[in-house]
Amino acid sequence: MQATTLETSTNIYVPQIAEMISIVQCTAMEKLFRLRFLDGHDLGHQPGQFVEISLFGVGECPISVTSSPTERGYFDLCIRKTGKVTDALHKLPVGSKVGIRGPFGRGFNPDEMKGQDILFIGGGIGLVPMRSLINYVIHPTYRPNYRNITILYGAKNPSEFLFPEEMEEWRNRKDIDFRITVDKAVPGWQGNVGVITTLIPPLQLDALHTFCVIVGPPIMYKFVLISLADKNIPEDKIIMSLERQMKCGVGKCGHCAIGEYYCCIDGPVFKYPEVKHIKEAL
Amino acid sequence: MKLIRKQNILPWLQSLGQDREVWAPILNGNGDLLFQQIHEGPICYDLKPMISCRRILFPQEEKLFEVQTDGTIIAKPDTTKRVLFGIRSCDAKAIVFTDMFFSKNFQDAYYESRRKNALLITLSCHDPMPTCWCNTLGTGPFLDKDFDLQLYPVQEDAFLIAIGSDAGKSALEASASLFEEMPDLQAKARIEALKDATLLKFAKNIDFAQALELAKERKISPKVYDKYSEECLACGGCAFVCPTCTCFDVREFTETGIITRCRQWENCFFEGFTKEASGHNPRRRFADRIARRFEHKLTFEPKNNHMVGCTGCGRCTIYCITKIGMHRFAELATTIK
Repeated sequence: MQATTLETSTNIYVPQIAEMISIVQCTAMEKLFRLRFLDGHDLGHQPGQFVEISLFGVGECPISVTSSPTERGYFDLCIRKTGKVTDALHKLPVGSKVGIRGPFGRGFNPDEMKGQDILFIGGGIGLVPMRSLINYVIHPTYRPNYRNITILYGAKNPSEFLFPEEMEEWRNRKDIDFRITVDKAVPGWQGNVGVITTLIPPLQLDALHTFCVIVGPPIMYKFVLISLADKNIPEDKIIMSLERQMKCGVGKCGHCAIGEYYCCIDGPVFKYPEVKHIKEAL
Repeated sequence: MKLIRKQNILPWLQSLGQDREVWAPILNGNGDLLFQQIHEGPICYDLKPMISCRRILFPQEEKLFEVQTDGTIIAKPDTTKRVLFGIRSCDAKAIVFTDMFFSKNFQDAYYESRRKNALLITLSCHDPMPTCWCNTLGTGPFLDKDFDLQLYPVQEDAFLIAIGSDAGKSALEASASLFEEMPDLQAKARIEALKDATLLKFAKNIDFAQALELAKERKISPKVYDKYSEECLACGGCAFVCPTCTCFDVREFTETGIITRCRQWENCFFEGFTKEASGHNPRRRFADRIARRFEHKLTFEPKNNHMVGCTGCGRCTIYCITKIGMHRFAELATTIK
């Protein structure tokens, strides 16, 4: 597949070609794909942005970038097998070529979090977009910019945890407070059992100086927001990434509209006060 | 001011058509008035086409690119030069809206290419339909700008012509012998008289201004959408005839090894419109999807882009099976608290 295209250099709908340079099976449902553009350019994303990945002949879908911008020369997409395009992507071998458009959307803003604590709350594959920010702020170059970093991560059961080796690294780092839980225990599980909100009450939070980053399934937001309100976290310090059917990624196709916003342009990262009044948002 | 006799319009358009396509409202075999090329039948001056020229600038189905068997991607925006003749004021204002939409944040190369190659010749309205409300929105019945040429049907057999751009001026100069001259003062008086007479013909039974104000201020009762959802069949026809609807779906297919990705008009009334791969659907309730449609046009567009996403063309009511559309919305919005 050629990287060169005709009359396509500024065309927002035409993908650029990238190669899968490694594929790791994370869980039964998720694989981690490492991609590199054929022409070698960096994706140049912000944490929390997404790309549209194409498998020509099958289709295209939006996937958040899970690697930190601090990793250069490639980018990672962690993809759950859950539809026509993702099913087909899961069948591809290393070396396969795919189309990439993006990065798109408004990501997280690590600069505004400088000098503050950060509390990450990730449920299931909500960890995937959040991980691009986690690995950015804990990178040795940037870690001194932030105070306490706490990561709460919940999954339905232990087999659904996505990045076991990385979790081990986070657990061992003294400058990160990393806590996990599962909805249902299995034999041999010795950690916390219960939904992710059970991890919040024991935390000692500096409410006025903590940014809370929440990403998870739609139902999770409702309960996490209640728990954070109990901790007196100001609403404008609650940041979330929403999932929608972002078909075009460039604010044209209309599918991802959330009230007055387009998730693909104005989001997917929103501050809670921006979407609080929109009935369909959360 | 230039004046053209009706019998000279076709020769004029044919001469413009020497190096471009010329589209105008023409009845098709099924009795539907649509924009078609002028060789397909006589031009209809009296009625508004069923679908605006949106279907020329943003076709119902359009190829985004193809991937050839060797992997080369070919994307070719349509560069055909076109004259769009007989556009009503409301539809010209809809083009202003879609110009804004398709260029905002990211430029849509396909729309841009068709648009910049189109000469817009509008026809001011002298006989609004009972469902027209451009007079409230200021999107008609006559235009002050946003056209290359505007024709005024000031008499049975002739039109005065206003020039709105250099491209419009050139389109007249090329066939100078087909036009007559009317002194400006006289022409202006004729146009004003026509305008005054036209404004008297608008239906006054629904308070659109109030409905629009309530929508802008986010004061529409949720009961309005509940009631509307009981009357709407969710066929999606309103979105297809709407001149400002821009939503699309993207599909691709493979034929003899060549993969084609194209986009097609889509509709926010359909349940699958917002459904995600996970099964999560933020607008599962039909009334929520109806709210989306009206809030988008009447609340969010005015807020975000200082334009109303409706031009008062009235098609969503005329072509609605149950005859609801924007009219019924305005009626419900101003009566249900």
